Amino acid sequence: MTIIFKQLFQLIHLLNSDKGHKSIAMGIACGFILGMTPNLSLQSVLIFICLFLFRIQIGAALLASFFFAFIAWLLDPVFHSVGSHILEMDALKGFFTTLYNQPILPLTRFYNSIVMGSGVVSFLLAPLVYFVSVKFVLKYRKSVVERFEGTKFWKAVKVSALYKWYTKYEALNG
Amino acid sequence: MGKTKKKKSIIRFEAIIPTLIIFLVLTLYFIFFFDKNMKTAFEWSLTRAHGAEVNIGSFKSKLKNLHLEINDVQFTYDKDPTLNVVQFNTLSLNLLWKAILQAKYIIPQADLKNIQTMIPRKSIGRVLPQSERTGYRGMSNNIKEQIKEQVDGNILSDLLAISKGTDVNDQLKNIQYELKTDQKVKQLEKELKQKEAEWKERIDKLPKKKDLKEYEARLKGIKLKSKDIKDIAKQVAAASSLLKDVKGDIKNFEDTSKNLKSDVSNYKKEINGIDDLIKQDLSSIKKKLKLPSLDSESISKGIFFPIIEAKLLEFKRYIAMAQSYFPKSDKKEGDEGETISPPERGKGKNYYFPKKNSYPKFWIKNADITSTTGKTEYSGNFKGKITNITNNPKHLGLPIKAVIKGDIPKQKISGIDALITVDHTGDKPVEKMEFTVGSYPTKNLILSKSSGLSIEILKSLLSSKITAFHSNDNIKFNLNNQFNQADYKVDAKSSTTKQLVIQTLKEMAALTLNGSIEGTWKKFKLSLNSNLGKEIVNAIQGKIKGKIKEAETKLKSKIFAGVNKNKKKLQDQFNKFSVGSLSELKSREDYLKKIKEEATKLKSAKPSLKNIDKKKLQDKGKKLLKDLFN
Repeated sequence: MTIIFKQLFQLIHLLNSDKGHKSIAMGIACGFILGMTPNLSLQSVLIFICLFLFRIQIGAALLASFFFAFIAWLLDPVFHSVGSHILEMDALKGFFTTLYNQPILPLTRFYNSIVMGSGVVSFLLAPLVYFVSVKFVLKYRKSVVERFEGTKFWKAVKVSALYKWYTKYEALNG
Repeated sequence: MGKTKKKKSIIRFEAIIPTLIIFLVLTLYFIFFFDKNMKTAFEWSLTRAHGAEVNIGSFKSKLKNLHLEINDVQFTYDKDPTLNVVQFNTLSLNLLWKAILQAKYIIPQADLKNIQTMIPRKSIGRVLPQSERTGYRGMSNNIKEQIKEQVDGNILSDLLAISKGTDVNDQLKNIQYELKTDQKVKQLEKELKQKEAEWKERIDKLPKKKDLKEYEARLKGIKLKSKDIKDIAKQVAAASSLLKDVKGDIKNFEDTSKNLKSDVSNYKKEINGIDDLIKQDLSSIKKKLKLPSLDSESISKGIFFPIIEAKLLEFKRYIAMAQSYFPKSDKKEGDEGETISPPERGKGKNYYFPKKNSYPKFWIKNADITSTTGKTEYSGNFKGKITNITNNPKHLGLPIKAVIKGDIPKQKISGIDALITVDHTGDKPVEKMEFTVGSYPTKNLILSKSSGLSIEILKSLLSSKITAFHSNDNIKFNLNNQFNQADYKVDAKSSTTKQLVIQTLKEMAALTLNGSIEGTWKKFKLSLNSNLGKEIVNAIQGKIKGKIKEAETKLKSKIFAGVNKNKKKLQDQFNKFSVGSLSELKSREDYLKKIKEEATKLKSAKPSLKNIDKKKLQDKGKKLLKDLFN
């Protein structure tokens, strides 16, 4: 729980700084895949391992996953028809039969139309989500953060002793 | 100058050390604590499932080849916690890696060594209260009630009482009885009165003789010999109208007759049912009067029902206990209920691809049981195997089979042969058992214990065969016992009974006891026969047969004379009503039918043109033409 909170605070911090926009965007893309996948399956576990091993913003991934889960619920009929279409393709029948008889792989539940449909759609759209997220973060920084930093309130905060103590603490902590 | 920060790598290297630490801790846990924790977990869950303390000596696991070994397992006997009901030295098994990776538990070979039963425990085992048990939690049954209904436990004492002479009239004064027949006759009388009133009202609503006469008058009034064609047309119309009215009334009569006939037929059945009630009443009073039947089966049932009752209760207990652990699901593996839980969001559709050598979730292919006579009194030479224990027999298509053969020499028990089949592969689950013991020394076995008689076998050699079949709620249970070289202890209230039984038992080389149960748990038929019953019948038949018949005749004349009189009265009353009403209806209906016949004839008859006044008709025609051209 501490790690999750730490990541969420770090997300706010990163979002309002001038660095790490790629890390946030990757987090959002991973969260997109997690949110679209129904329940926890093997591919979700793989995404979590990626989040852990690579420098991807976990807070962004969790928030995005929560947000996209709501949209995914509405998109289920689309995922079902895409998944059904793929699973019914004669050309792939042999391939799916091999997967079905392999150890571990059936745990991905690839044979379910919604899992297949959401998996394919989310993996295909993940790069797009990444680029859109990069643009979104940069735009946010320019239009919201810069404007906020120009306000009298923020200028007053910046000259306060508390803020100076905080910036010193930040510099020491790295 | 500020220190420039080093750009962080895309890989979180700082996460690798915590990950390695976690893996190290897990490895250490598996090396030092896993087996101990598994032992405790198994002991805890097995104790709750078994209902009494289960102890495990040691649990050893080898992850490399997925080998498990459980040693010194003791199951406390819940009825006597100083004993272990089952105890075995080693259970070793290997799981398949290939199946584990599919989240399935397949055990190609398991070995169960040195299985023993009824071994004294070192310390008294804990027995759990019902509320703490999982799985089997006892059973509700009506076995005792069923047996009580079919068995007269005091039959022998009653037979001997009859042989001394019993006055039925005296006994009748002392018992309370209410005849079902009497109640039924009164109820039928009441119903008959109601029906009579109801039918009288319905018949009264139908056309009466006066109305029928009116129809007749209308019929007589129709004359087709008129000279006027207008008049003829009027008469034909009158015939049609009459026919319509009569037809309507005939339909009413027909419907009423039909309903009355159906009521009469139902009531007749009720009256005929009185004879069955008389039989039931007779049997119930005979029971109250302790007027027994003189047949060997009734006598055998009366003497030996406690032993059958005990065996049956035990059988049902084991069935209920086993059923609580049988797989409940009817799903085939194709349904994949265990691996594909429908997503909460949307169910989607699961596609199934051909499975090659697919496994059920859990499967012990073969478990060998071996045991050799050891130091303890209860150890024996056993050899057996259990095959195809699975959570999904339908998918596997193979029944669970257990075969055990052996003997316990130190206890002089030989020829143990058991075959248990649990077949849940079809739509109907079937459980079968065949159990034979060639020779088994029995001590202090109470065969019969009623208020009038008790028979106990002090010692004997018993050979026994039990076959049982159970499917859904249906049961078939056979028990064949033979007690050889037996010493008996007989106690009876009456010295005559005691002497009779002792003498009969003395003359018998061996005592046989064969019983069977067939039906459902709720309603089954009990058959029980013993050579003791036959011998007793032979011994007392001459004395008693005539007396029973005499008592029965007295009983019939005393009690059922009144009932028969009432029944006859009811029958007469009913006949009078039914015959009277039906004949009345028929006579009126026939009368109407005659009128209908006549009216039909009139309607279809061609009126004769000879009588028509032709000149008058010509004049009328001319006048019409003249009016037309002017």
